[in-house]
Amino acid sequence: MRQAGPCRLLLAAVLAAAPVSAAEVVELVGRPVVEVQLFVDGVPQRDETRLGLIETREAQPLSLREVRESITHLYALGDFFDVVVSGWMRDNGVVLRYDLVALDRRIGFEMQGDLGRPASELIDVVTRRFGRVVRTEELDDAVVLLEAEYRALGRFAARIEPAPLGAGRLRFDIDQGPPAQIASIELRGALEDGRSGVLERLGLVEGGVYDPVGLDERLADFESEVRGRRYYEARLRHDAIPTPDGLSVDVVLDIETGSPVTVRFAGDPVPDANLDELVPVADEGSIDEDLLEDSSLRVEDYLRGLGYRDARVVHRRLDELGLLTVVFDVDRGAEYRLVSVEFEGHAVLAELELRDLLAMRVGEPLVMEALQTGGAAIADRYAALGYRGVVVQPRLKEADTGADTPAVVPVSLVVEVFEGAPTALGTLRFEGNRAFDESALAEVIGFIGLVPGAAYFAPMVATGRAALQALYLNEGYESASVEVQPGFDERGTVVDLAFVIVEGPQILVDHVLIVGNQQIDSSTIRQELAVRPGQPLGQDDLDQTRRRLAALGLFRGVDLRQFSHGDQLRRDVVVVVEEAPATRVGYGGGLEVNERLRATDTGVAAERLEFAPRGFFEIGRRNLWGKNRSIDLFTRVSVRRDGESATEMTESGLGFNEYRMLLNYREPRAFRQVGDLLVSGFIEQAIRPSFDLFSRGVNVELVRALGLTTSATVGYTYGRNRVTNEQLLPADRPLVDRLFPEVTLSSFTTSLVSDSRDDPLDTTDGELVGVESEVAFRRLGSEVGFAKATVQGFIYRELPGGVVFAGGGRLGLARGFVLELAGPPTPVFGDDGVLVLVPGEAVNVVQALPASERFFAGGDTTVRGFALDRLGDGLTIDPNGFPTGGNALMVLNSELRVPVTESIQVVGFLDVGNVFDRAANLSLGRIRGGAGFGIRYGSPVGPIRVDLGFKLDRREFAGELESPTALHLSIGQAF
Amino acid sequence: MDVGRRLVTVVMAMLIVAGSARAGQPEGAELLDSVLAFVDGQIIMRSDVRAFSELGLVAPPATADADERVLTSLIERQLVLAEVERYVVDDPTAAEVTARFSEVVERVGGTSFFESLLPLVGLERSDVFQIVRDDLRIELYLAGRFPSSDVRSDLVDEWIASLIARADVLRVGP
Repeated sequence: MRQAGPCRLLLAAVLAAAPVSAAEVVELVGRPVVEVQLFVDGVPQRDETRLGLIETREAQPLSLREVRESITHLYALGDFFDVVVSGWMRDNGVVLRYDLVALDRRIGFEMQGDLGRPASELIDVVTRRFGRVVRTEELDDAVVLLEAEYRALGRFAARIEPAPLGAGRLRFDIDQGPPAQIASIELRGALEDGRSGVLERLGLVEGGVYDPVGLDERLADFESEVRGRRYYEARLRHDAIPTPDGLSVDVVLDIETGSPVTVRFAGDPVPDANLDELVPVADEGSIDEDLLEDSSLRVEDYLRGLGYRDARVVHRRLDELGLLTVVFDVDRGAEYRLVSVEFEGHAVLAELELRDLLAMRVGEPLVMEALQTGGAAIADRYAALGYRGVVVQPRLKEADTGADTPAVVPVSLVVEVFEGAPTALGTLRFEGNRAFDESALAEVIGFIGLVPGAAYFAPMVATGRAALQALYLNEGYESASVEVQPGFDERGTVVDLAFVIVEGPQILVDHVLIVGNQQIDSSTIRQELAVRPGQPLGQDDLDQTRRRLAALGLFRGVDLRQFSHGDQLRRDVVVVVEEAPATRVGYGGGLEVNERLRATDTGVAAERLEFAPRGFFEIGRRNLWGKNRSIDLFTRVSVRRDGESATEMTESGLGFNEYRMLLNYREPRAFRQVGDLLVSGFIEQAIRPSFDLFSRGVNVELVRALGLTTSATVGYTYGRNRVTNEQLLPADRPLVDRLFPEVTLSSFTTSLVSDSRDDPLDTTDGELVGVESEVAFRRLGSEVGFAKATVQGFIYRELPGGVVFAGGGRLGLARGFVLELAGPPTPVFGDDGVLVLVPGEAVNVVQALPASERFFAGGDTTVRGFALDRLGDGLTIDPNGFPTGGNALMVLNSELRVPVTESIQVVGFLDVGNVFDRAANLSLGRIRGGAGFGIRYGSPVGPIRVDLGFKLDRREFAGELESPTALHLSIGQAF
Repeated sequence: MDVGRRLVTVVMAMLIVAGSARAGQPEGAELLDSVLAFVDGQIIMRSDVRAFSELGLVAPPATADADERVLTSLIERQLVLAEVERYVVDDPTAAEVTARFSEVVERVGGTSFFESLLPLVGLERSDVFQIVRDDLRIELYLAGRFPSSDVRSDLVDEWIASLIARADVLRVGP
């Protein structure tokens, strides 16, 4: 702070004669602050969030400017009515005290007495009208307002007395009084129900309690019912006249029914029309002239849309014997049909394109509106190419049918195009720009095609203007304006554009304040902010901040408010968050339906449709330690029905078909923003066609986003897998499975995924491409070593008519690392009696993958038409028909999804592929396939899918031909 | 007004402000600043009243309720400025702003006194420049909207009254 020495001395001299307190105020400024205290409603606070908003710091000289800024920041929290700052000397320094007055004291009045409803509701009524303080001159109006509130509830005897409390506060003493009784009921008008019927229908009885809200609801219902009886103009209303003491009312019911109405059409028929829609007398409950006029026009438009170019419809009323009939007289005239469509005068656009744009075909009815639309489409296309002066002139020629009043008139259409000369962009210049140089602005508009020499198209120029405006807006120039001034040459073939820019001031962010967070640390919120102090207050930064905070999933609501304090060029941004509950619980159930292979009594595999109820439970906790960390426990079980499956009791003895328990810990932006860390522990049991698999282990993954749609993952898994209930013939079991019925695996995984699908559950557009690899090394604790890679790609495109084409492919290759085992002194046989290890110096080589890692295919998400895992051939399916799996996989899918209604879709699909015993044996000649159709129902949880697949070729296993079909039921699309 | 009298005026003003607000504060504490009014989301503080009075930006009447009247002027100014912000009003030229700023400095007693006064009212030079710029923008806007006439003053008052009626204005109690 600058010190003006002589003035200060003079000031001090003057102040010597003044009271001590005043001198201290002046003397406080510039002194070091020794302590900053914060009080809310007189209670001391140590809230770091609020203390952080105070600009006056200990050990710094007291600055009144910083006091002002501090008040502004604290007020911006929105929690306080007043902020008072006081100071006093201590130890040659200044103690500052900030007193905050909480917002609930902001309301200058209260409600007391027999209110009959929550006080907050009445306070809302008054504050909406008068604000937070009711001034003396407004008291009578406030009382009238409250009395009206009670009258609306049938309490005419309410008493409301305002009582000033001092210090600007006010109390309303209220006695709502008793509800009025119905003294009498007068019925004006008549209904076929009669007086007693009407009163009974409305629940009215003399002496009963007057309930205006309930009565209005019943009147509205009754009115709808009466209108349903074709009294379309029925009006049922009521009025209440209270006695002077307000204790009773005389109720007057006004009933106007009008005449019952019939709507009839005369003259020519109106084919295939929804007449209720064209003449919505019943829906509107009215037969006023405007509605009937509009209805006549609607019917005319409808007929003209069918080619009845000269259709005329007039209406008339017939009032006979108390019945009103509205008659629409229809004169369709002749139907006009196109017999030829030709184009003349065009050179720039080919006739094929003109026909597409016109969209009128030979043989179709002549619809003038469609002709106008088609002509406009042609003109727009030319305009986009720079032909701004194009004229599209259709000529119609009616053929002479020889009849006086032909039913159908053939019409020839010739569309003549006067193209004119194109207009190209000349020079593009900018005026008024200071914040951005010309090259930067030119780049912005060049990106959308506005470059010298390009065709001049007014809408594109408007887009360019909007793009420049957005550029300024995103740099804090919130009042910037951009106008375009075109300058055409004499012939109109070249136009120079001048972009005149008025930038206005640039608004910068002063401070960013965070309020509303209780458990979530402010640092977690700050790292999502795109707005930064000192930076321009740009619209895209604000939008990005909102998106990022919403994407955290930690908040119920996020609001960004702007607050300025005097300096119009700088604003504080206040981030107001409402935290979501930290604990979430989820549960649900469903039904698993699948074609599965089961062993028959003879040990041969047979496909069976199985139903298994399934349930899941999930509990999670987030915001751990104030950060965006979460932990979740997920459990899922499928229940087996007694006596259905030949499967042995499971290893765990739980008696469930399948179950899964997953404990996840997730930490976004771990290791200093490297990526999201996910640590999981899992226990699961799965029932596969050829075996049961019991797994447990831990998995650690680090996921890093490489862009908006791409992510990379590295991970490590350590686990133990046990294969039981083997269905394969002993001789067909791979050696690795016999040597390692329970195997420990320690593997590293990497993956790279690019996902631009618009909706993962029901994609209509986008692509999904992924590459994943897994390597297990014995030196890292894995009992079996292998390398495995999978590549997959899917593409989705929306076609005309809402049809979606989906296609994709998967390729998997794996190779086991050679494991040489020296032969034992004597033969070793397995429990099944099959020789496992050969004695002597022979070497036993294990190179296959264990069962849990081999590829399987077939089922609702790979090749439909085959039961789960059942896709294979003689080299990957044992003689009993159970799949062994393989070291390679290829699957190709294609599907057309056709919408039938808004929620129902039918599909046709073709899936091909196979599993190969060795990667080297992968061959297109061994491909098998399934084709079929299905139906999708769009439920709130995603599409429910039923597919019926047909095998394209059926093989014989164990003397039996494979079943021709497989039925699949699931949620979500197949791929 | 000479420098000596000006200083006394400032001190007396601070006396009045400090003394009148002493109620409710810890013993020996001096009121430095507080909120006086809330206008459509913006606050007006005691220091604003003090600053505008001492810098002569608003001419306080010689009455007992001078502060209250200055506050009313600031409330109206805030509402008018909000209207000006809604429309694209040409900025005053740098020369105009500088000239008006110089008038303010001259009015308060010269550069030395002006510089010594600023920290006592919680402002910096740039703040005063901004205030002056806003005042000029307001004048430009009013000149464009209300052409000069005999009833111009009444029309402006009427318009300001309509702004107040529509606005959310709350005066915070003492």
